[in-house]
Amino acid sequence: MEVFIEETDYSGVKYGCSVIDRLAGCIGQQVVLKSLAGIVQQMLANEDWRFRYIGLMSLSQLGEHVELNDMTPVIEIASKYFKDPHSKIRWAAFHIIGMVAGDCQPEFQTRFHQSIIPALLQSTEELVPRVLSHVLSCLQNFVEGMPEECTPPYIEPILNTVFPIVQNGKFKIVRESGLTVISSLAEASKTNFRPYYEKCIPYIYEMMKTYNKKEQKQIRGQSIECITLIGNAVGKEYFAKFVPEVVQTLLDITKNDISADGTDPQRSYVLSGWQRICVTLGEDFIPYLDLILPSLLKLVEDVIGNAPQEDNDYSEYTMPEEKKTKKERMDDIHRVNYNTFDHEEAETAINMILVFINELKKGFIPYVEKTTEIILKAVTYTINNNIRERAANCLPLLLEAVKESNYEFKDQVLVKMAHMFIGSLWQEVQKEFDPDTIMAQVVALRNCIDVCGRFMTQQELDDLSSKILKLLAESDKRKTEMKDMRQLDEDEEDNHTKTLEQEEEELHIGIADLIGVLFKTHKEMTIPLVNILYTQVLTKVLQPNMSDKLYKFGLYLIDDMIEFLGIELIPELWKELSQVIINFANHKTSELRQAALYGIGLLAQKSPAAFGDIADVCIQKVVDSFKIPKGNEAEKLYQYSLDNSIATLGKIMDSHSNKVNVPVLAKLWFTHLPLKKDKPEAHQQHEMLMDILLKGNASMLLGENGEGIGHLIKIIAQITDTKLSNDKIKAKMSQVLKSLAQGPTQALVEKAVVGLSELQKTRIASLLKM
Amino acid sequence: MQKICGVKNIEDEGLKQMAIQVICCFAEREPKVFEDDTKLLRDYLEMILAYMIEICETPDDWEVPEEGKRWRYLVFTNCVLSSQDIWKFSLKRQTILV
Repeated sequence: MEVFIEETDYSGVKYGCSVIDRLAGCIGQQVVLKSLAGIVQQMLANEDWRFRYIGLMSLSQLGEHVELNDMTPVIEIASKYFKDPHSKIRWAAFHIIGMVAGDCQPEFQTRFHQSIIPALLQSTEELVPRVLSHVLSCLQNFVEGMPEECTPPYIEPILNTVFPIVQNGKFKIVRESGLTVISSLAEASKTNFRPYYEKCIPYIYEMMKTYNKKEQKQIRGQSIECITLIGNAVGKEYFAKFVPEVVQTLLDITKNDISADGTDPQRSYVLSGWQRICVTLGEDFIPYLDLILPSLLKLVEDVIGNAPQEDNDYSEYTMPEEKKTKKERMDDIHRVNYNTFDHEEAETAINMILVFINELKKGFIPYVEKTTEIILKAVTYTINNNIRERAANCLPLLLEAVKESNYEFKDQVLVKMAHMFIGSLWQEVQKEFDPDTIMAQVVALRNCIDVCGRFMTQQELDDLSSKILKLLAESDKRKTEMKDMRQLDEDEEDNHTKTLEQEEEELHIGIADLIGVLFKTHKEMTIPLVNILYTQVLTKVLQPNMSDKLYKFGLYLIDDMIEFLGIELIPELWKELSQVIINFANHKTSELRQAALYGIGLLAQKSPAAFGDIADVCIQKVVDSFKIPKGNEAEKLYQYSLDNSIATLGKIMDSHSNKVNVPVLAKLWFTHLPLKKDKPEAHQQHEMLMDILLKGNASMLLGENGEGIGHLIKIIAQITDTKLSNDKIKAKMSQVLKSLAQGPTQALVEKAVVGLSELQKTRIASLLKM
Repeated sequence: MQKICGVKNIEDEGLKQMAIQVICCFAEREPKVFEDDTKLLRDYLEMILAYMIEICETPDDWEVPEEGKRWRYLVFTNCVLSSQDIWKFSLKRQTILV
């Protein structure tokens, strides 16, 4: 067994950096950066290299907390030290760039690719192996976060520089880092890598095939990663001709070249390599499944088959809850799992099976029966929670595989399997001691029901409802106990119980999702459950002074009632539920505001007649929500809330165009576009924008003289080829853009394009060429 | 705590880390104290940086690590991994596919 050698000089630096990181997190990045910048400036002027080194290293930590604009001076400082005479100073300068590339992607890459990539490529002339290896790791981090559109001009220069290092580098750490750059480049550039893959694969394949010495295992593993990432990037049509050889070599490595003691670095590369090949080939992977799946199933079966039974040494795990003291239950939650190498292997194997089912769907049918048998055992595997969680994740996917198949009796089989899975999951939820695992099981339950749709009888649904309410009550009880303990024993248990309390509240939200899917699939059959929730649960969790998480739980339930049951099924509750939603629409907490604003959008869509009475107050709430400033919460959460304000305006305009002042609302809506985080809402609203423009209502948004064209071009440039758009929206954007780019509005479009970034200009050009 | 950190040739370096840790825990509980008192924050940052400088060194084989040994060295993840353990680092790529 190999022994790791620690580098002593890092422990102190790492510790110091972690303290600065914690300070930035608790005091605030701006305050810390301001004080630190002053000190570091003095340190950088010191002749002693240690001062300059520590000064730079302390700055490397801040990207995680600071906006990119605030990091720009730090990046400029780092760039000045790329050629410092001292190797450690150069190393620290590259370290800053690598850290920022990870922390601020993709904005950092988008803004700085033109200066950073050439500088890093030039720095590969570095003579010190440790620093050269870090330059390459830095380049890898940078490339990894690059948007696909930025990559084409850099693929050739990077390959021309890095490939010779991989082929001829004298030092192992340098070659390894170089190979990872090529992997990241292929991954980031996707189909743009096609012109280069044929040049790369043969050499990398040669490494994969022939590097079988002990000291070559790492780089051989990386060659597997590289080749499968290239395959994934270029697509199966291009990769197909290499597949038989790559698959055969992977099988040979698996059978003959991986040591059994768990320390072989090739192992993880082989396992993830199989998953990548499966994802790349899709259905074409089915012929290979027979070669791989049986050994995976056997591996899982061997591990869980050797497990001690519940009635021996491990019986404590399943001790009835009522016999336990509070303290024992609390201890259960933090009980150490038995986590051996075998368990990790089994977990990875289940994960691979999960990927195979997810990718192959009906192609997995021949293996569903055997897999179900083993996975159901793994769901109840008492001594390792990761295995239980992973196994639970597989169950809905197995149902999906059956649902998509052409099997003659699939409907009956599906219902039978669903009952079996739900029964098994419930049994586990009741015994489970790990909050994360309970959550995974609840999510699995939710997804199983979602896949199967309406399949329960009223009696079965009522039974399930009772179990859910019991789970909710138990979680509530545990939460109260923890709160009591925290108050009694503040010093010792403070953070610990607070975390557990939060976990229970998270579970509440998971349960809300589970209930929501029952509303969605079983509609009117859930009315008895709705009545209990309304009278016993909602009234309690929506009282004043409850936690934000409980309010969120309540709002999620109400949103689901409105969305899936509609005013037709719960007319008598509609007014009260609407009022709750309206009350939270201007709440100071973004997550609650978001849920409430989403609810207003649903009210507008789901109750056309009833919404008329509350339209004015709802619109006012939405308008006011734009004015609420960001608090201490994450930018992302605030943005989600803003996105929902915009989307709700859009939904009101769309559903009630005859009752509201559309021109005024449309102007406000257009001014706040585009949405930036909420993908489903963004797709809906951005498509709606294009539809309005294509239907000839452009002047309502763009003004009689086209004064809104500049803003429209910015919106299009920002969302094209991002998750905020899709092919359908892209086609419509192209249509809109082409019509605006000719005739009297041409000059306005050209003027707007001038102010865009290079990346955005490329996007606009590609839309005009479509 | 400043005094502890200021002692030269202290026998147990861990003591200095503990001194820094004590103040950091205090800052996490009472961030406002440091937010309002920039001198205090600056003094504390200087104390951390001085400690980092004091224990900073370069092992002989830092520039050219000996081949065949499995070094743990710093990569861009705020944690320590060996070059042979980079796969954990590149799991990001693997999870995209899962």
